[in-house]
Amino acid sequence: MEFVALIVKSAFRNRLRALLTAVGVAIAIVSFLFLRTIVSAWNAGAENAAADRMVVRNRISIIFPLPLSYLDKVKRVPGVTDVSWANWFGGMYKDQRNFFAKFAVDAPTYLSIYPEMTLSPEEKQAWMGDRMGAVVGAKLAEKYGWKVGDQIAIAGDIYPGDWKFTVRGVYHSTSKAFDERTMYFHWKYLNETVTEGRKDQLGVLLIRIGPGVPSAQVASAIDKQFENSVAETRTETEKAFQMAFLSMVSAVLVAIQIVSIVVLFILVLILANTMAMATRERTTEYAVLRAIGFSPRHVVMMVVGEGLVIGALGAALGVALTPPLVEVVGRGLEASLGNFLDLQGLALGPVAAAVAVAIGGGMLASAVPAWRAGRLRLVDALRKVD
Amino acid sequence: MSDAADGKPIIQLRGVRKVYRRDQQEIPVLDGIDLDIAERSFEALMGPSGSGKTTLLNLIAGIDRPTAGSVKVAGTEIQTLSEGDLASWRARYVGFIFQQYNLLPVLTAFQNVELPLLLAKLPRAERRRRVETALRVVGLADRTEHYPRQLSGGQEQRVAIARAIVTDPTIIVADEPTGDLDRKSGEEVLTLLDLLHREFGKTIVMVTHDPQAAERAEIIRKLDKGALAATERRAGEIER
Ligand SMILES: Nc1ncnc2c1ncn2[C@@H]1O[C@H](COP(=O)(O)OP(=O)(O)OP(=O)(O)O)[C@@H](O)[C@H]1O
Ligand SMILES: [Mg+2]
Repeated sequence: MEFVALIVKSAFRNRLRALLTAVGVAIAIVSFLFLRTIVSAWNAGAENAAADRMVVRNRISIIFPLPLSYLDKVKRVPGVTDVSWANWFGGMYKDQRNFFAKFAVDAPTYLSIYPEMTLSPEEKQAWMGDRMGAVVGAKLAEKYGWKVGDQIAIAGDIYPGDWKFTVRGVYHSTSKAFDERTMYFHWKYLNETVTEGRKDQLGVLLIRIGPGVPSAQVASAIDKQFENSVAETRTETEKAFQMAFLSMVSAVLVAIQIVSIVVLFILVLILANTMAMATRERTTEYAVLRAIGFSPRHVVMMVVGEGLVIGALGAALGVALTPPLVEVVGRGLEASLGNFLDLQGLALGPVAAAVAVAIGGGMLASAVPAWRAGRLRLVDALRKVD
Repeated sequence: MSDAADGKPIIQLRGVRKVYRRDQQEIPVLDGIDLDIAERSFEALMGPSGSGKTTLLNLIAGIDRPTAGSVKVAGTEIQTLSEGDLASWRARYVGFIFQQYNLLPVLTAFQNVELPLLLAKLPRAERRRRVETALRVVGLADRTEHYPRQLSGGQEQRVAIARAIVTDPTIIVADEPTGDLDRKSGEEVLTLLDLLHREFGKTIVMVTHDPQAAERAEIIRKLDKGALAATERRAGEIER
């Protein structure tokens, strides 16, 4: 037996308590790592946004449209090279649970502004040639088993009615920021079909600016143009738009960050509690060790070592359990938040931080008990039983 | 006051006072103890409860310090040592036997005996050899892998004795080593102490309440209200 073995054996003196503590630490670590992964996935999603694309939306709210007449006016703003547009369609496929995004777009311009959305030339041609044609993302097609030629019926809500589309293509994405769970169809078809009062409305304008053109300048030029009109605009970079789209989510993110730090504090408290209990009930044991020649330093090392062992076990458990959780829950989130989340798997940084906190926390948590055990007055401690 | 013992004294107490302080109150426990214990002797310490036996034993073993006076054991004035030095001194010179055995429950008999050797930085094989020897001496060579809860009280105490002798200490202190044992197991433990004294030349100081146990010692000292009251030499032993 070596000194280390003695520490490990002592740490598991009360096996159930040691394991429960380790599990507590593991849960804290899993929570911490999970929350961190979500935060970084969110940030990565925003980072992936293209810098040369901007979004023009109704200043009041994204749910209010812009008049078709804006198209030409925006096109003429210096620095703007391409303009496209998209309308959020809403709608339901078969069942409320089958949520996915559906956009009515101007296909030719949309495809040129979003080169990351790839279709084979045949599919592209087929889509362009079918007024009621649609393209769906590869993941969406896979999920619902759609093939080219299939009919998709959508029950409209924002645009009431029973809508029928034919799948003319399955697109792939070359970028993480552009997800493969969306359905696109022709804005023209939408515009022809809706009632008179809703014709010629654009959801958002999507623009591309020339290389080196300052986006802030373009934004203010566009927004100034529509000042005091029926539909004032707000123009932002794609990245800012993504960040703002779920602006309340960023508040949630801050909360998540705080919670993840709090979780680490809880971790240290769990450990401290266990170490305090474990050392208090072993006072006599430490006194015996001291009597047979262990120095105060040895005893301190033993107690700190025990905290370290339990902390390390919890850390190992936590790090092992996190990837499956991220896989299951994180993928679910990614599926519903689409291109806003870019799940990257466990980053080394947070893992190292969590492990360091668990191990360091274990040592920190045992510092006071260790100090007490080291300062033990032998005669008193031995007398407790004698 | 001091008793001339046979041979040169290995334990020498001079004017030892011990006062415990509880709150504001001072409790004198030992008052002016002069004591010489010869090398290789086996002494028993008796006296009523609260007379200071354990306190005296603790001073001799270097786990407590006198309020006044000097305690010289194996040539060292131990009251002058720092905590750390005192710990290594104990590891080197003293073997402890407690009334409650005080084995670590998470360790096997073998590992319990090995415990003091962890401090000695010995090679693994050498440690094993010493542990096995010690366990053989106490007659538990076949119980090495047993945990304390799988042993009888008598066996536990024998493991504790093996732990006390594995470092080959100069003196062995035992505080009521048979106090928790039945007569038969108690006899076995006493026979072992006798063996350690006779065959291995250990100096043994044993506190006991049991006159029959004390009979095993060469010298029986009586403590009363913190002072040495009487010394009884057993004739047969002195002749040796
Ligand atoms: N750490 C301490 N603090 C205060 N008083 C103490 C302490 N240790 C011992 N005493 C007191 O000193 C006296 C002698 O105690 P000691 O344990 O030496 O007696 P003892 O002869 O071993 O008794 P017993 O036969 O019951 O074991 C007792 O009155 C006890 O209450
Ligand atoms: Mg006592």
